[in-house]
Formats: sequence, structure tokens, C-alpha cells
Amino acid sequence: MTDLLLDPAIRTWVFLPIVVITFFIGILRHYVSLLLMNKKKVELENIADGQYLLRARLLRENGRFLPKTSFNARRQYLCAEETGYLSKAQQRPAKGPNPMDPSQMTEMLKGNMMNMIPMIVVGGWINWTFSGFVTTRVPFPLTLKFKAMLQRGVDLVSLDSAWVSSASWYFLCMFGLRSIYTLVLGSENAADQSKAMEDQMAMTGSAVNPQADPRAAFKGEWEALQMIQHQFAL
Amino acid sequence: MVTTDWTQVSYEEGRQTLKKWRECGVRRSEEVVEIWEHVISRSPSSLGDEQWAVLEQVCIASLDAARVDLAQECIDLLHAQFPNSNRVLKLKGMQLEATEHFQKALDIYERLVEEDPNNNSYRKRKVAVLLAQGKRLDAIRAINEYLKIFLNDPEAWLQLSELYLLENDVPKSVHCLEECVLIQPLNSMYFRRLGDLRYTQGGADNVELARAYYERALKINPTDLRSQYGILLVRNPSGLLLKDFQSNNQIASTTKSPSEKKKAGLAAVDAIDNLVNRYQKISPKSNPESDGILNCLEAMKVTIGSK
Repeated sequence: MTDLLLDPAIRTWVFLPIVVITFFIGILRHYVSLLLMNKKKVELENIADGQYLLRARLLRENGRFLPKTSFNARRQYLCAEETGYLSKAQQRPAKGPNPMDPSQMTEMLKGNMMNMIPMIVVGGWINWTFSGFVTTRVPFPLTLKFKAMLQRGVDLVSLDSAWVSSASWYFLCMFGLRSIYTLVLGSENAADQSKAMEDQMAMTGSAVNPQADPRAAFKGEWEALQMIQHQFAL
Repeated sequence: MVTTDWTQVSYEEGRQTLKKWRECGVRRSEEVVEIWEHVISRSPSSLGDEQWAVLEQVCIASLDAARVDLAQECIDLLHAQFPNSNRVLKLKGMQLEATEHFQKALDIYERLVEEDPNNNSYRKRKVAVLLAQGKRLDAIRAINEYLKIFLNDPEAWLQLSELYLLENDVPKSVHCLEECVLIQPLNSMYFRRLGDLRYTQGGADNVELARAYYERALKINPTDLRSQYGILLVRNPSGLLLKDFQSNNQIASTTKSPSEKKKAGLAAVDAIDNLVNRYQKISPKSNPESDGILNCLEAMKVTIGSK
């Protein structure tokens, strides 16, 4: 089978523009989100909670360096029925993010807008402008299943599945630029769409989010600390 | 060790050195001031954004080196750049501390804590003010308050332990050091100090603990001479060396079977051997005492061996 030969103009006017556009959209997203988002406020109580959880963990891990009496005193301090911090924290009333709080609501709205609008607008625009090109080829053979992923917008049965269409190339760029953003913007950037999507998935997927419900985390630590058998390591 | 003349280093080298010290938290204040005055201050603007971090570092170092004039310069520059910054305000407070205007410094820190209750450095400064004033009990109270929230701060626990020790409250001091161990189980200093404290507390159990801690410290840091001495001290089998203390020696001879005693003696000899090894490597030039110590150790070994 003869090899497919691509027009160099496709490289100049489709392949590279998509990379550049995705990159700059990411940068733009980062700065716009910096503008819109106000910094999350951390309550002093949350810090203390985190510190106590960490401490319970440290006690479990490194408690073997303490003599038995010291270890038990600390465990008692954290786990005692009435006065222990972990026990008390479990009985605290729950306070997740309140959906009716207007400030929380705008916050959520902003987050969603930042995710959705570029996705829809830019994705649609790219699809519309650059549709129907075969832009590049991955340097290894792939099975037929990949056709749906790599050749979106180009429905050719006879085309080898290693070829990548323009729309798919856009998606590949979107997900693949993460490390480049980290390089350019530092690790705490908001440019990456895939990360935002992962966050959303995590939100809906798992019910136990330590930030949302510290009581579950406290309960876990409390149980683990109760279970542990102290053994002096030295 | 080669001593560098910090007034003569090149610009780039000075910059790198400052950066290294800043990141590792090295306290070499006089050198920092020297580098700044003789090298970097020629053209601070060529540092770019780094210059503000350097200015902060130099400011703290100059306070440490009692160069209040220089600190004032740094603060002025920083204040011009960041007029509303809490970090600069903290420097201002530290300068007031250095010039012994404690009450004013405290006022500044109070305000900072109120504004940003999550930042632990302001609270720590408050404790530092109390310490500088010599109000030990107040400082203990303040640290305790601080540790209720930030209870995984080994620096604070260590400080509290030292304060309790100054008040002769050994059990509480032990408690604080145990916290340090929990947080950083690979720091040999904590173990060594715990060993010291347990030995000070006395009693067969505590001495046994002290031995365990010394050995742990030595395992983590094989060059720890003080732990080696600690082992020797703990292993000293029933007053072999100190006959006067025989009556109240910690490992009472009544509780020890002869074989255990022998074992302890052997361990003590081991400890001495290690110590001798260490001292033999030191040239008398760098430590003129080492010969005397060596002789003393050899004599000790002979005494123990003969029993």
C-alpha cells in the first residue's frame, strides 16, 4: 500500500495553528481565572482539623519510638470518649458547602463557566474551521478501535488508524499540554482543562471528600488509632 | 576548612550563595551582610524579582548582626515596593524587637495575627518577643496556646522542651521532645536529648530507655559523639568507674545478674573502643585536648576490663 502524502500546507495552516491556539487558549484561561477567582479562604478551624488528623497519623506511624505510657497518654488525648479531639470532632454538626449561599453559588458558577465556555466555543470553532483534515500520523500501528478516537470528523474506512484527524489532534493537544503549562506557568495553574474535568469527575464520583466532610476522616483516624497495637521499637 | 573572604567573591557567586542559604535556612548573618554590602549592593536591580527576597534575607540577617541601620534601608526599599504588605510589617516588627521596643513590636504582631490568623509565623514572633524579654512563663503559655492549633511544628515543641527544662520540669520536657520524635523520627538530636532526659530522670526503667534512645541516635547518625558517650554513661556497670556513686547508681547491682553485668561491661568497652577510634582520627592540631581524652578513655577501658 502506498504511503499517504500530506500537503505541507496542512502542516503550516492546520497542524501548527491548532497547537498554538490550544496553547494560548490555556494561557488565557489561566489569567482569566486568576482575575475571576478570589482566593479560597481557609478557616482556622480547618487548619487545626488538618493538623490533628496529621498528628493522629504520625502517632500511628511513629508511635513505636515512644514508651508505652507516653503512647497511651497521647492516644487517650486524641480518642477519649468525652474529651478527645477526634471523638469531639466526629460529633460536630456537618457543614458542607452550602448550595444556597450566594457567594458559594457565584463561585461555583464561575468555575463552571471557566470550564464550559472555552470548551464549547473553542472546540466548536476548531471543529468548524479545521474539519476534515488528516493532520499527522502516530509513529506506531494502532488497532481499528482507535479510529473513533483519532479520526473524528474523517470517516474513511480504508484509512489506516494511525492517522490523526484535525479535530482529534485538537483534543490530543488539549490533554497533552499539561506539562508544558506546568513549565510555563508553574504547578498551580488553571490552564489545564483535563485537570478541571478530573476535579469534576472526582466531585461526582466519590462521596468521601475530606474537605467536604471532615467527620468521616476523623472517624477513620479514630478507628485506626483504636485498633493499633503499641510495640516499642527500640 | 577553607575560609572564604566573602567581600571578594564574584557577583554571581554571591548571588548563588545567598540563594542557597536562603533556601536552606542557614544562619550566617554576618556573612550575608558582608556579601550584601561588598558584592550585591553594587547593583541590586540586576537581580530582577529576586532582589526582594534577597532584601528580606539581608534585613533579617542585619538585625541578627546588630546592623539596625542596614535593616532600616532594606525595610524602606521593601516598603516602597510593597506598601501594604504584611510581610514587610513583620520585618518592621522584628526591627522594633531588635531595638528593644518590645511593646510596639507586640502591638504590630497582634495586629498581624488578627488580620491573618492562619499564618503561624506572626504567632511565633510573639513568642520570640516574650523570650527576648525573659518572660519564660508567659512564653510557655504562649507556645502552649500556639501548639493547640499548629501542633505539628517541631520547632515550637523543641523550644517548649527547652523552656520546661529551664524550669526543671523534666517530665514535661520529655513529653515535648517525644512530640518532636513523632513528627521527625529521623532526627538524631531528638533521640539524643530524650536519652539525656531519661537518664536525668533516673530509675532502672528510664536508664534502659535512655540506652535505647542513645543507640537509636547513634544508628541514625553514626558520627554522634555525644550519644556514644551517653551509651558509655548508661552502660557503666554498677559504678565500676564512679565508686562514690555506687550506693545510688542507677543500675542497681542487686537487680542485675552477673551475666547481664558482664554484658553491660562489654558494651561499655565497645563504646569506649568506638570513642577511641574517633579520637585517633582527630589530629592534635585541631583539638589539642584529644590526647588527654584518649589517655583517659584507655585508662577507663583497663578499669572496666579488669573487673
